This record gives sequence, structure tokens and C-alpha cells, in this order.
Amino acid sequence: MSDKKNNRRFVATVAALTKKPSFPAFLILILLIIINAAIQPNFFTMRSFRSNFMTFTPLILVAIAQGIIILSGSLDLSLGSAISLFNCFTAFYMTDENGLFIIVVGFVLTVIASGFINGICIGRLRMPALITTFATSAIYLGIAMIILPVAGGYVPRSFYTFYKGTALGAVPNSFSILIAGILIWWIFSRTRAYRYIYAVGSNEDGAFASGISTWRIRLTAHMFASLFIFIAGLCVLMMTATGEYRTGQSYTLNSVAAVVIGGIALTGGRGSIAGAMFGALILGILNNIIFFSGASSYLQIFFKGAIIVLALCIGAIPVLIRSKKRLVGV
Amino acid sequence: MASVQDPNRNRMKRFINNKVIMAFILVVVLFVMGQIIVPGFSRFNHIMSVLQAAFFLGLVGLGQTIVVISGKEGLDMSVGANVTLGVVLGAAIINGENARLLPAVLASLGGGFSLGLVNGLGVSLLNIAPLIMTLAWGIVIEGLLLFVIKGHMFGTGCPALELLGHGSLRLGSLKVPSVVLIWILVIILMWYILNKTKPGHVLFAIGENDKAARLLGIRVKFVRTVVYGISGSLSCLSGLLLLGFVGSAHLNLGARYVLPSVVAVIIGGIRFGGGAGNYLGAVAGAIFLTTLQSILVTLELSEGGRKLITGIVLIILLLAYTRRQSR
Repeated sequence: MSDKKNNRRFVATVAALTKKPSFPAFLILILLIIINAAIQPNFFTMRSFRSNFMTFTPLILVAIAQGIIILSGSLDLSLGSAISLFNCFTAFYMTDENGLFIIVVGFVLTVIASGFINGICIGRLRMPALITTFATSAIYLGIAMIILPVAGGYVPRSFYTFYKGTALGAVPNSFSILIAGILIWWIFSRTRAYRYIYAVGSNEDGAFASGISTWRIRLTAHMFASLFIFIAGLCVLMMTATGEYRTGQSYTLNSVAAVVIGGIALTGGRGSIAGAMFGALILGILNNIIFFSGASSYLQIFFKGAIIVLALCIGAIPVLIRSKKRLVGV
Repeated sequence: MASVQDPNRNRMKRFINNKVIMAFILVVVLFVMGQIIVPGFSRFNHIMSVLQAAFFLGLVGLGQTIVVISGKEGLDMSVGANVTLGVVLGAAIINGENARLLPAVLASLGGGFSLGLVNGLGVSLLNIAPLIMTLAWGIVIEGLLLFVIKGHMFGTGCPALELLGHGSLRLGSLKVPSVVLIWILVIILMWYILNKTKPGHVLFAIGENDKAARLLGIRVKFVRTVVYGISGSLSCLSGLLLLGFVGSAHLNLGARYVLPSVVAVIIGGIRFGGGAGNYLGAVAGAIFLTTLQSILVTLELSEGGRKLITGIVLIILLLAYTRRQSR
């Protein structure tokens, strides 16, 4: 009797899960992991796990940042340039002695640039997000190019060996950083401010009418996201171990793509950060697959774009079916 | 209750609120500043050469304009890839012979249109957000071009194309570039189509209100798909003419037009939600951005400095007149 009840509850839970906006992304992710494991012989070894998460961690972190920002009804196209700025600044000023101090200064810089300035412009001054962050992106990239016009700079050895290393037996440090980031997000997701982000993103006027200071919530979203952008920037710095203004650029588009593939609506207020993380993993594993499939290097960009388009189409179909049903109901 | 207002004051207010006029005033201010910084900046011939460089952005901006007007947060981020496609197609087909100019024009119009249609299908049938759909499809086109070309470009333009892209009409000592003449024709044509013809009205209708347009019997999805196709063919054509202007083809010619075309549309006061705006605004925006670049280049700033100043000027502009209604 109770067995049957449990069974029914299990079916109901699964059915509820399939209705989540992040569900298609989850399915695609499983499929891609299977494909990746099939063509990369040592995929399930600790070694490839470590090297994979060295590149996945910053990607997932920027996806979380972009996810929070898009949920609040905003958008950040300056995220890549903020990472570039952090990268150039730290690599230019770091020596063996002042490493940690420069990182802290870089953290403050990132929070001001990427969190406060964007947040104030979009939230308080009510400027359109897309174009504002495009403009601030040019500013941050410009400063990065002035600091380090050519690739170079210095990163202390202890930093990049730490990122490659493992702790507690076999856990890669890059993976621990990711877990720490997810934990910070999880704590934040329990707060009232986080629920308000959804409210502002889905219905700004409604949120305002019920007494939420909408601009403060947008600012909070940007400030909080800048923390993740900082951690991602730190990972990129430790991964590349050099300063260059181009390093951050690819993260902008990838973060938006990850968020959309993960089922978060670009209009804000709908979707979950878990979806954004799935989206980032999808992009990361796609890169693996394209690399290990031995495709001509000229074809790699084409495959990457084509698969993103495909993922977008697959993600769009459930929404389409639902809207058709609604129309029939009317 | 609305009180009786002085009609003159009302007209003044409308004049100041008219973003197209404001954008043109900004362009004039920029030229005056340029003249102060670099004497001779506002000579007739130099103004014309700035306009000549602005034309290509203006033609890409035309596609962007109709896409934005068509609503549903319309944007075309694949314009850069389509410009590059136009350059590559043009060089490959023409390969130095004037007789092949017409086939090249037709090929770039057709190629751009069919690739743009994919954007439109994704946006209108599958309901994918235009920003991300066009970004991703742009990557696909770029990847395809990279694969076809495999690192080395082949083909060149032809004298006739160079005359179109780079030539000019001489009136005494005054030079009027041919592309500026083409641009004037395009502007008049677009004004007529958008304001006086049925396709123009349909475009504004679907941008203003999807559902109302559908109830009026407009095939909304079909129209929106075609709009993205037109944007593709316009950027492709712009790329073909760019081949005549630059002379030689290379693969990253198009990338620099993507975001500036969006910025030009916004400076021109075309509403992002769709349903309002006209092409003249985007023209002013394109001229503004090109003039700004021209001033910064003559100041011999480093690339980083140019980016920094462009960004700051944009922020100031946005602050001045694209803020949403404040509470």
C-alpha cells in the first residue's frame, strides 16, 4: 500500500522535474556526457576530471553571474571585459611578495566596475542594459589595453601551481573553488533579496507597487554577480598564468549562451541557476567533444555555433508545445 | 486636467524630444569639436570622406533598424558575419572582372537573405530570443566561411566595384563620393517605404502589437521572418560594397559592424521594444559613431585609449537620452 503511494509520489516528482525550464538542458547534458565518454577513452579518470574542471570552473561561475543578472531583468555584456581588466591589472602589478594584496585590490576593482557601476547605471539611472554594458565593456577593455597593450605580466608560481593541484587526497582545487562558489550562491538563494530578484525580473511594475525598491534589487543582483565574476577572473588568471586583454572576451557570449540554453528567459524572472550551470557544462563538454572528434580546426567554430543553435531549438520546443496547448485551451 | 498650452512651447518641447534631430545636432557638435581640435576637420571633402566611411555602417544599420522596429526585442547580431560573407562572396565571384559584378550583387543579396531567414525562423517560429539566436547563427556563418576559405582568401574586386565603393563625383574642387549619393537614394526610398507604403505600415503594426496585427489579418510570423532575411541581404550587400571601398578582402572585416550598428540604432532613438523609429535616426547614429572614431584616430590615441573614450561618450549619451521613464 505505502509502496504504491511512494511509487506514485516518485512519478509525480519526476513529472514535476520534467516541467522545469532547465530540464531540456539536463537531458542534453546527459547525452553529451555519454558522447564525450564514448570518444574520449579516459574521460572517467581523475586526471581528465581535474583538467576538465580547470576550464569548466570559470565558465560555470560566469554562467551563475550572468544567470543572476538576467533573472533580475538585466543583462551584462561587460563581464568578459571585466575579467580581462582584472587579468591585466593583476598580472601587471603582481610580484612574488604582494600577490594577495593585488588580488584584493583587483577584487575591489571588479566589484566597483562590474557590480557597482553597471548596477547603478541600469538600476538607478534606468539605462537600457544591453547597450549600457556594451559601453562599459568598451571602457573596461580600453583600460585593460592601456595597462597591458601586449600579452605579458607576471603571475607568481604558487598561484598557478595551486590551481593545477589537488587537496584532500584527490579533489582538484579548481573543483573545490567551484563548490565554494555554488555554496555562496546557495546561501544567497535563501535570502529575501534573492526572491525579490525573481519578482523584479518577472514583473517590475508589480514588484515596485508591492513596495520593493526595484533599483536596489537590480544593484544587489549586479553586485552579487560581480563576486562570481571576480572568482572566475581569478581562476582564469591562475589557469593562463599570464596577462592578456583578450582572455576574458569569450566569456561574455558563452555566459549568455549558457544561461539561455539552461532555460532562463532573457526577459528575466523565469528559470533557475541550476539550469545556467547545466548550460555552462554543456558548452564545456561540447568543446571537449569537438576537440576529441578530431574535426578539422577550421570546422571547430562552425560546429560550436551549430550545436548552440541546435540546443536553442531543442530548448525551445517544450515551450512551444506548452504555448500551443494554452492556445487550444482558450 | 491638461491646461491650455502655448502651442509654440509645445512645438519647442517636441523639437527637443525628437531624438533624430538631437542626434544630428550631436553630429554637428562633434564636427565643430573636431574642427577646434584638428583644423581642417570640417572641410567639405573631409566631411564627405567621413560620410563615405559611415555609409557601410549605415547600410548595416538599415537592416538593424527594420529588425528592431519589427519588435519582440528584435536584434540582429549576425550582421557582422553577413558583411564578411558579402566580402568573401564578392571577391570569389567577381575575381577582377567587371562583367561578374551583377551576378555577385545577386548572389550576395540571395545568400544574405537565405541565411537571414534562418534567424527569422528561429525567432518567429521557435520563439528563441533574437539576441542569442542571431549571435549563435552568426557564429555558424563565420565558422562556415572559415572552413570554406581555410585561412587564405582568394579573388579580388573589379574596377567597377571600386568605382562604386571608393569613387567620387567631382564638382570643381568638391568631391562627392558615390556611396554618399547611393546613401541619399536609400534614405529617400526608406522614408517612402516606411511611411507611405503598406509594407511599412505592416512593419510598424507587428512591432507595436503582435496580437492586434494578427487580428488585422497580418501574417505576423511570415513578415518577421522576411524582415530578418532583408537584414541579412542588406548587410551582405554592404559587405560587397565594402570590398570595393577597402580593395582587399579579409575575414574580420565584418566583426566591427555588429555592436556599432546596434548603438547607431539606439542613438537614433529607435525604440527597443519595437513599433517606433525611423531610418534617419540610425543614419545620424552611424555618422556620429564614424565621426567620433575619425576624431580619435586623428588624435593618434592608442587602441585602448580610443575604446575608453568611445565607451565614456556612449555612457554620457545614454545618460542624456535613452533612459527609461523614471518613477
